[in-house]
Amino acid sequence: MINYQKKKQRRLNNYLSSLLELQKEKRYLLKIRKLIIEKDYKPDNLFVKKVLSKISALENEEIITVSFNNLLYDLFKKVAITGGAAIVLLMIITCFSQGSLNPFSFLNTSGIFQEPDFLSCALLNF
Amino acid sequence: MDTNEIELVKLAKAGNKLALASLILQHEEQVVKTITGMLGKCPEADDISQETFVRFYQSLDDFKCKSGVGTYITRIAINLSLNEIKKRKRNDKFFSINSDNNILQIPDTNLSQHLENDNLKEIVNKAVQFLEPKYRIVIVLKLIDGYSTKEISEILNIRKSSVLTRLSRAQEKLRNRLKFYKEGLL
Repeated sequence: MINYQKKKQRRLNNYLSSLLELQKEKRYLLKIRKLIIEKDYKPDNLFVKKVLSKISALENEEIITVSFNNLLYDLFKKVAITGGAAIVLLMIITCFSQGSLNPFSFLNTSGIFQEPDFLSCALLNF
Repeated sequence: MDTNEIELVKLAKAGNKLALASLILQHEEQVVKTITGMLGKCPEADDISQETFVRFYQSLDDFKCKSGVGTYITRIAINLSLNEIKKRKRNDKFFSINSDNNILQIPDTNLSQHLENDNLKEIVNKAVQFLEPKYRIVIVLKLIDGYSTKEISEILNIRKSSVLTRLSRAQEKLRNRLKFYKEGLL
């Protein structure tokens, strides 16, 4: 296999040496390659510093976001617990004072709707 | 991947900034080469080079040390460069190359014979920028970064034969684009 490749390479080299046009073409391609390779690609002196500061900023941002989310969650928890406690207290008070947990008892309107005079007035006006 | 690099990655994963800085120092030139080769010299190239390392840091937990850090970072750099190229296409805004478009199109052979090496470098690199991204990638990885065909096939996740085909077509396209400067190049 190696011998075959060597032979092939030798044959190509012979062919190349006999044709000036091909030699010129090879030089041309090599020059293009050389010019591409030679170009300066130097990074900025402060490159590492810039990247590290970007990473730190990103981490700080993450910390701020996480702490803001935690704050929001804590606030929501406090409001929800207070609200829940208030509702339960209202239900207990209503239950004791009105004797039932009927929705009308909460609005303290059960008396008005049950009065026949109110109903008849309402029907007449309708 | 050498043991020193594995250690550095482990330390960086644990939050050691010095290890991270050391990894950045080792690969910054490679990344800048890749991105400048892909996008040309422009302000976005600096930003994307930095962004490459930020992304690398963010994906450190997913990095299993199966491939080298250089290969992994180059893959990120290539993906970010391709995103930038897509963004430019979407905005229908070509970078500085557009204003210098005529440099490559004036068939002034007399002029090309007297071009200095620096100018030729500039012209050749602008010609690289005109290649389609799939050809540009292989030229950048092979000639600028110096990766082997096998490594390029791993980075781009394509077959070795495809890498060679693309490389040959890219050279052909470059040759055609630079035909007016052939005398200057020889």
